[in-house]
Amino acid sequence: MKRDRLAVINDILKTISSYKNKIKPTPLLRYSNLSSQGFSVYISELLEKNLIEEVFVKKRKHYSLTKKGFKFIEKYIAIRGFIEDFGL
Amino acid sequence: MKGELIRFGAIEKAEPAFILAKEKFVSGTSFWIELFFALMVVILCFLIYKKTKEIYDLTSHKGIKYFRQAFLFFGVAFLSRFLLMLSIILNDGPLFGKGLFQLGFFIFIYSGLMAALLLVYSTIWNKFKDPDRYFYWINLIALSIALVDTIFNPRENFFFIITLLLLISTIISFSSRESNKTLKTYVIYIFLFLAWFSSILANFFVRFSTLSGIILYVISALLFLLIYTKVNKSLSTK
Repeated sequence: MKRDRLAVINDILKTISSYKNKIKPTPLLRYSNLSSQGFSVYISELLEKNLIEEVFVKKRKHYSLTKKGFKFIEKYIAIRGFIEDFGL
Repeated sequence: MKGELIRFGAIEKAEPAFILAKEKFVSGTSFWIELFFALMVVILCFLIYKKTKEIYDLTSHKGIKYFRQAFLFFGVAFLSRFLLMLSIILNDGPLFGKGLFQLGFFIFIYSGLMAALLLVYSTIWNKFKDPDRYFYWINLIALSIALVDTIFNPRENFFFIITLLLLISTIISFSSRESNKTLKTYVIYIFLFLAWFSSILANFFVRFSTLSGIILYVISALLFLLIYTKVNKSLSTK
């Protein structure tokens, strides 16, 4: 079943979280099940909305969740339920 | 008093009946009941708007955006409606002259229309490629109708036509729903529009009995309370 935008965001954030909150772009792309173009679009959005941030470990770029990103994961089920309850 | 038609901009006093109604409204408990329920609805609307802020900030979900804005407009509409009624009743006509009254009426019609249109749009926005563009069209429609109603006071009041259209569009939206989970929500929305429509009719255009007007107000308030409870329940951490 095709994932909607929120489901994709949730999957990306959960993947980052499951890697002790630090993951390099390439494995994240692999686990996200997105095209590289789609992945770039989502990552840009997540960075812009401050759900994730770039951190550098030994000069290598990694992605990490922000507080807001953790909050998203925490609230995801409730958000989903709300959207379904009101047909939004 | 029954069936008496009162039009903004040209309030036909039919003095004895109008003055009687005014005295009854101001001196009786009905004023305080109306004030209580008006404030209750306004507060509930703003609470819904506030309660959904966090999830909108997290997701930027357009459906949530339009849903929130609908209730913001509902709050403004109910507040302006109450103030308009108060000004008519206390002054035998427009408060502070026709100009400000017309402005108040315009705000009332515009915000009421925006609220209803946005509530329906929040359920169908994802069927459009560029939802924000249609949002501007919604604004334009509401502005145009509010302007025409305020300035020209047409005999065939567009407000009633659009309210009926909203009922129809809610029913159409309901029939194309993807799950039965939203069934209750659509039923609430339909009753809400009916209550809104009836209460406008009762308060501003046709003189129903005071009791009927209050009953409609109570029903509106209870429907908003139901929606707020549903929002609260949906967003409570599971």
